[in-house]
Amino acid sequence: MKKREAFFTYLFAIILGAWILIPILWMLLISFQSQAQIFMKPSLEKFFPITLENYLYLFRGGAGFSNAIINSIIIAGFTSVLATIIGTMAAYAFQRVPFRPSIKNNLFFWIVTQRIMPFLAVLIPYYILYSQTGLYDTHVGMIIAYLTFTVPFTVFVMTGYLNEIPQAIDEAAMIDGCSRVGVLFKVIFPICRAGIVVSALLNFALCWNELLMALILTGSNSRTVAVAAALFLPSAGRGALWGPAAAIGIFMMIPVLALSMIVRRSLIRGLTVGAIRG
Amino acid sequence: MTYANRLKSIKFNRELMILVMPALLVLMFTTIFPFIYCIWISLHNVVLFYPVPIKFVGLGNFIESLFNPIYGFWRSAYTTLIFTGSSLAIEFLLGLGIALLLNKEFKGVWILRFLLVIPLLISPVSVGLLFRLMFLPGDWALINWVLSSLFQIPPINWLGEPTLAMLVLIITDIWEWTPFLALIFLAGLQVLPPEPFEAALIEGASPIKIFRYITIPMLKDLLAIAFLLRLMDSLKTYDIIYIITQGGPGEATQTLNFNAYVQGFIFGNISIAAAQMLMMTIATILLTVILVRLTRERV
Repeated sequence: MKKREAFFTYLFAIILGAWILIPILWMLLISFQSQAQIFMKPSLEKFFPITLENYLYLFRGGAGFSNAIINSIIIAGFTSVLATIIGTMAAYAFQRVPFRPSIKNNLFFWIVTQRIMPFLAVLIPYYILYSQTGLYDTHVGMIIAYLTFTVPFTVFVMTGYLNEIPQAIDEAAMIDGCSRVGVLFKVIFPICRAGIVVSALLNFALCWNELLMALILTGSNSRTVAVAAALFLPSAGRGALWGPAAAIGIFMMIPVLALSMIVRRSLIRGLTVGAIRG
Repeated sequence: MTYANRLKSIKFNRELMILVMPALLVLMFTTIFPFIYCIWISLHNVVLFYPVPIKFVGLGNFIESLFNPIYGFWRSAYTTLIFTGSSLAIEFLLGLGIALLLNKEFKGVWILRFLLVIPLLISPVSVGLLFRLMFLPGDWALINWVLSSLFQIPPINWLGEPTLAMLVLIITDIWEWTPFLALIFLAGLQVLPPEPFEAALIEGASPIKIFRYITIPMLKDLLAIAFLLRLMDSLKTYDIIYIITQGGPGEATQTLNFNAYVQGFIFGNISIAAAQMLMMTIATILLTVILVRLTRERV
């Protein structure tokens, strides 16, 4: 009986692992194949000489990709820093202040409505306002647009972390003559470093991954990696350039996966803590 | 309260206001103001790409959307229902199953817990590409190759058939979001108190009964929250549709969200798109309220 249970546990575990990994391995394989190898049926020649030509194709100016990487890093980086600071400050105030419960519920309602609201409902006004004010296709415009969802997300994640820091710590620091703002920056920030790092990384990942807003609000000037990838696809389909397409897909995963390796443990917590508390 | 104390409490609040202010400003400028502007647009006839005198049309855009099939509202609503309904149902069942599996302690369970985070983090653009590459029509692509070598099925043009294209999208969505639900349910399972389960085991209850009568009721609130979060995100799905099918073949995989994008930014009927998005938002809010009421009542 025990043995049979263990057998099924491992069977399901292997199926689950394969289900997650096979699509990724398939793309990884294609990204390292030459144009001719991709269309072969599995054989020794299909897998063997591995080539980097697909990656080189991207960086040698295919689809303006190198520029897009720089744009993405600038936009995601600035948004992440700004949103993490603004969001943590707000989360701290909401969590510590004896606000009436109705106001606290409104905070939660704000976060929920943010998720209900389709991006398009704010994107349509953004598009019109941006084309009138010259913010269209600028880094600043994209950073403002990305604050729409990164700030509430930070509040959501950080509230979970701040719940666990006892109020006594704030009070002790304030008796010693520290101001509220001072408490936040000198005492709270260092204590919940893990939470701040996780929400900064998640914010970066959210911006790096985002497609719809960037597709509508950027032109050739501030195009992000996601948009470059999406716009490359139709031509990839016509010319059957699946190798470079796969290389883009793999390339987009790398920064986010690398970041997640670093903070694996806190990450799972950061991703789920809000939902459980909520 | 002494005067000094009261002064202190005022200062206390002013400092807190300083902390909340930036977030409130962001909220004002990035959400509330655009949303009001969106309502204004939906009540006027704004058209992109060529100049038209803007005038007030009242609820005209809403009525046009509802009754003129050109704007594809009901067609895309039906597509959304199929996409969201089937992917959510399967994701919930699989998510619960995976959470129960990972809740056991066995060698290598941490590997699975780590693998589950991957689909959550990688870009939806990459996720779309993963499945587009697997379901390409050629006989060399993974799915067609497996089908032909195992069952001698000739290569299938997955993304060229309306039903099959929808199936591919649903599979993609399941791959992307089941791990999210599994991790939430797992975290929920791990904070459950062990006593009821021990008592049930001593009484000799079967695992299925334990699951049905103890686990599910104890996780009910979490299930409801997870359902709402997934519902909201699923209705907004855009990236994987754009990457895998671009709404095609024809209009077969255009969900409400995607249809509004096409109406607004491809055809330029930006007011129609705004009206459709507002109707979708209102419908989602109504659904949320109803679901919250239903779960509250059963407590």
